[in-house]
Formats: sequence, C-alpha cells, structure tokens
Amino acid sequence: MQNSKTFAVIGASDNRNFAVLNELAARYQLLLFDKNEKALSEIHQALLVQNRYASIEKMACPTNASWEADVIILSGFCINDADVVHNIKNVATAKIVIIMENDDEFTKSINHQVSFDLIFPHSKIIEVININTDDKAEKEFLLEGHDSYALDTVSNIFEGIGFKTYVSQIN
Amino acid sequence: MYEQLEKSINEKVALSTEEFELCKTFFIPKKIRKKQTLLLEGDVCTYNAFVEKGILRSYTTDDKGHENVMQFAFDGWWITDLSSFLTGGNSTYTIEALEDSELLLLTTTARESLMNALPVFERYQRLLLQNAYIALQTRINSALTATAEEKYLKLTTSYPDIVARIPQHMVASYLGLTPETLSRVRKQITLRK
Repeated sequence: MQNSKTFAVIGASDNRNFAVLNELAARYQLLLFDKNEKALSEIHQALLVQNRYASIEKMACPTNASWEADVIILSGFCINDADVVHNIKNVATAKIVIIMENDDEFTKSINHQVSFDLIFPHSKIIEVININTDDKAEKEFLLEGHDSYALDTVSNIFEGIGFKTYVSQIN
Repeated sequence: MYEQLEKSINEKVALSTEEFELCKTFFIPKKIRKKQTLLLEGDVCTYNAFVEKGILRSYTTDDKGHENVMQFAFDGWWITDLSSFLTGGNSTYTIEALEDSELLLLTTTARESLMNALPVFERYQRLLLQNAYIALQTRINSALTATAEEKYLKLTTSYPDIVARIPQHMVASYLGLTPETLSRVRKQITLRK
C-alpha cells in the first residue's frame, strides 16, 4: 500500500484540462479551487460522476489547497492571476508546480509576459503543453522544465494515467 | 509557518537571518489532516518531518493487529523512520497525524543539499541525533527495568504534553502497557494524593 499523492488544482474550472483531471481523479486525491464558484461546482460534480469513489474536494482557499498538496497544478485564468499566485507562492516551496498550458492565444500571450521560475523561485516548475487539442485523438503533452527529477515525476504521472509525454529539459 | 523551526535551530546553533532564509527554501510546507498518514509501513520513507504545529505518532502493527507506538511528535519536534530515511529500505513504521498538523518536510536529497549549503545545519542535525540516541537509551532502560508506575510517572514528568494531549490507549501502547494496566496505575496514583 502506498500513500497517494495529493494534487491542488488551482483554476480547476478550465474545461480544456478536464480529461487530465478526470484521469488524475481516478488515482490521486484532488483539491480543487477556482474563483468562479459555479464553474468549480460544475467541474467538481462532473468529476465525481465519472469517479464515484474518488477523493475530490472543493476548496475555498488556494493557499490551503496548495499547502495540503504534494503537487500543484496551475491552470486556466489563475495562471495569470497575481492574487492567486501570491497566495500560493509561500506554500509551493520545494514542490512541483505544473503549469497547464493549452496551445492558444491566451497562454501564448502569458508566456511572453511571465517567467514562472522567477515567480516561484524555490519550486520545481514544469510547463505542460497540450500538443494535441483534438478531443478525439490521443492526448500528447510536451513537458518543459529545469529539474530532471520533477520532469521524470510528472512524466511518470502523466504516462501512468494514459497520456503520451515528450520531455524537454531546459538548461 | 517557520517559527518553530527557527526556534529549534537557534536553540542549538547560530544561524543568521540570511542563512535561515536560505534554509527555508529546502523544506516542503505541508498540511495534513487528522488521521491522515505521512508514511505507511512498508513504503520507503523519503521525508524527515518537522512539526510546526500539531501532533504525529509513529507506530508498528503486529500480527494480531495491535498498534505499538514508537514515538509522538509535537510542535518543534522531528519525526521520521530514520532507518528507512537514511538507507532507502522499507519502513517499519506508519506515521499518522493525531491532529490537523502543519509540517516542514525535508527529503533525503534536500537534506544533503542543505548540509552542503549550510554546514552549520549538519551540526544541528548531529546534536538532534545525539539527543535522540540518549532518549532512546533512556527509554530502553526504562522498558527493561522500571515498573508500570515508574514508567508512567517518568513520562508525566519528562513529557507532560503526551499525557495531556494523547488518548490514554496510545499512551499505554507507548509505555508498553495494556490500557487496563495504565488505568489501574493512574487510579492508584490518584488515590495516594
């Protein structure tokens, strides 16, 4: 028996990541946060319908969700939300922070504005880029980051839940 | 979030503010809930946990399903399965939170990196291990030679928090007594007062 990892999903209502959250929920504990309470409830419910016995919880505060988590997933509009980022920064120290990027104009524009390594200087940042947005095709993700241990860990997690990954270590 | 750690380190070695700021970056802040486990018996223990707030216990479970408590850890204490943490072997203990707790976790690799970055942390760790070894010898000696009442009285004097904050059946297990024996001992002590 092994202790299950806990994931905080900050910005959980981004529907583009539903497939990933749905697979994660089957194996890991999820703590979901989003500023949009209605959308959060909807995604929470949708995940519970597909994973009846999973441990999926709505959290009122991004700090507590991230503090409890072993791995933090930052997605949707929360990626660019200074308040949210500020609130989770201190409890993200030495943890893996996954930035879920979707190949669209919104995240592209963010990439030009911020460096997550500067925002989370003591965390292990892994940018996860969805390189196949076709819902019917097999999901494939490009993982980018500096820390080889974190890249291996995230790659193993994604491969373990049935996704194909390509790893790119940035020096 | 780091107050107890700072206090614990400064009680044993001198660390400047800048050094402590650097030290903090090696620890994983982690909240765990009551009854949640940090480590399961049989897994490899990858963390040495410092308790900022809360209570944890480590215990083994025997063939009959009885839990034998090895250690409690309160605010400002460390807890791990040292053998598993240092050797990478499977753990003998389960580590569980008895209250909602706030921890600072140090991985094996982070510990090595921290000791390289701040050699004074190695001295701090050595002093901790030294004290833990002395405590362990005292406990073994007590287990071998003391009566049930002596064990209980020594515990109430040395670690009053354990008696005040821990359920009695766990205190009994920690002392190697049955809950009934501990109850009888407590009653005898109360009657004599």
